[in-house]
Amino acid sequence: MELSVKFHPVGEFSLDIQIKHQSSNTFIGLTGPSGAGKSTLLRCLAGLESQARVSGKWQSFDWATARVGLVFQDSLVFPHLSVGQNLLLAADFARKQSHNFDEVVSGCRCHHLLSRMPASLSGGEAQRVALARAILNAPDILLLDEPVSALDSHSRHDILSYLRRLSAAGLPMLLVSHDLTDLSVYCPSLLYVEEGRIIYHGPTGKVLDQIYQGKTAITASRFGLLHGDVVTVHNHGLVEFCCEGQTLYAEHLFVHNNAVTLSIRAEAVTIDRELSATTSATNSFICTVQAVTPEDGGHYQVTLTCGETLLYARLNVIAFNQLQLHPGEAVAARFATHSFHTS
Amino acid sequence: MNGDWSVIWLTLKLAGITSVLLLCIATPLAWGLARWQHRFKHWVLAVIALPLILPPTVLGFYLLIAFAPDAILGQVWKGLTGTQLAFSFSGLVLGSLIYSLPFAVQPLYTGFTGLDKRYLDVAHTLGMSRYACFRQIVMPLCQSYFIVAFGLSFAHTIGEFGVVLMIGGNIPEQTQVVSIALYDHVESGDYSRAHTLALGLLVFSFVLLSILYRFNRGGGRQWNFR
Repeated sequence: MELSVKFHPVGEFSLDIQIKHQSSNTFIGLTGPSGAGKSTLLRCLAGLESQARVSGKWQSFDWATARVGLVFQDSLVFPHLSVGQNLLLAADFARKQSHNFDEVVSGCRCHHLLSRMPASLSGGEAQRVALARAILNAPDILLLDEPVSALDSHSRHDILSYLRRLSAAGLPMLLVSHDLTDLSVYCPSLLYVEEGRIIYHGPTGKVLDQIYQGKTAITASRFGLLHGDVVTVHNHGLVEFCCEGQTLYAEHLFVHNNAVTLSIRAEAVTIDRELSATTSATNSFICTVQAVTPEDGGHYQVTLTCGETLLYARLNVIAFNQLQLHPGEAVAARFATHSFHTS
Repeated sequence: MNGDWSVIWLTLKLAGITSVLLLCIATPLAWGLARWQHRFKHWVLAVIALPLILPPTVLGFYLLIAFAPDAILGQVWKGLTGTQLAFSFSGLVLGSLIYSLPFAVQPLYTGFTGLDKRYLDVAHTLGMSRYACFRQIVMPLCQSYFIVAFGLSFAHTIGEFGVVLMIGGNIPEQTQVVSIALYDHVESGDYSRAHTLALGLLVFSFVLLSILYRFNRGGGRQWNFR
């Protein structure tokens, strides 16, 4: 993706984005602290800021001439039209062959909402309708401004999985989110913006490391990323996969080309010196203590490593004193099958 | 009473034509004003609102001068149509457009400024043209304001007395409207016919305003909901 955006509205804020992102990814994440310019960037890209100068290409589409769809954070479903009428209106104004109506409605879990009026929708339902409306308009590029922030974790997983599949089928998407877990699981590439400038961009794992190591304005809980290949999918969506030669289990994982990414918050990991003990946590990942770092508030962050994989655990002072961990020690990192659900 | 029916018909015709024309004029005017940001904007708003507080005779006096055959407006009109503006039905329509203008502009201006602009952004990202956006998004969302603008223009035109008397005179079947005819009946001591017209105007005004208030309330709930 090549992109250049210059926008200097009246006031102190200015947007000056220059990226040459060497990647064929069609699902790219965008994050940054509040007020960094994420939403303004999306408005510029969608052609809503007449003073903005936008140039560059993404896939075969020129930013300046492409039909760029935008899903707003507040949904903004037209209140005088029913859900079905909102969707049909968007399909009517599609410039090219629109996606299959029923498939999109089903993918966005809107089929039972078609006859409802927007005023009766919950926040999550309205977000799903806004997504379906934007997709049915058949844009060349789709911009998503926190499109699933009001959804519960299961719905979020369903919708983000659907969006990811849709992007792989030829609809490039730029996803703005504050949820680093969602971004790490679903977006292979990530852009980090601060004060109207791109600070980091690249593969998501690398950018996340830069965010944590750099002096950024984000103070989110640290989490590790486990990449693996699916072995089998059990009943009730329980996925068995292999990571660094070890077997792990997780529920409702996003599977893409038989590969999975599991993100685990430091708070969800417990450390056990007993490597072979059986516990209700289900997952036992044998790894080595790499570092123990004191944090604010009397906590300690333990960095665990196994091969290429980094995992983090957060211990309070009592657990830290009892365990007396030292770098180089082998321990078992335990976590439940649903540990990656963050909200 | 036959004479009064022709007066009522003429009044309704004047109010109908004026209200329709006013919606056509006031809609782009109010839309432009709602989006226009300029330090002299309040002056323009004040000029449009002048008929609200100006004594009708003042407005009527200036209109009469402007409509005179030797005035520029009167001359242009005469050149275009071959008729004179003063003391004609066309003159009444033109005068009504001016003195009822704020009654059409104000509700529409309120509706347009209160409209959540982000709906227009959504329409833009969906590829809707400006016309399609106005027709399919703005008009339905501001529907109640259009109805109120039409209703107030209609009612105000029907009830106007001073301006009509100044620029229209009192010519039966040409410029004699209900309010003037009522005055005539009182002058000639025909209180029975005066009562009929007065009661008719009273009931009509009450019913119309009740309907408008109902629309105004419903409209507010409709698009400010959530």
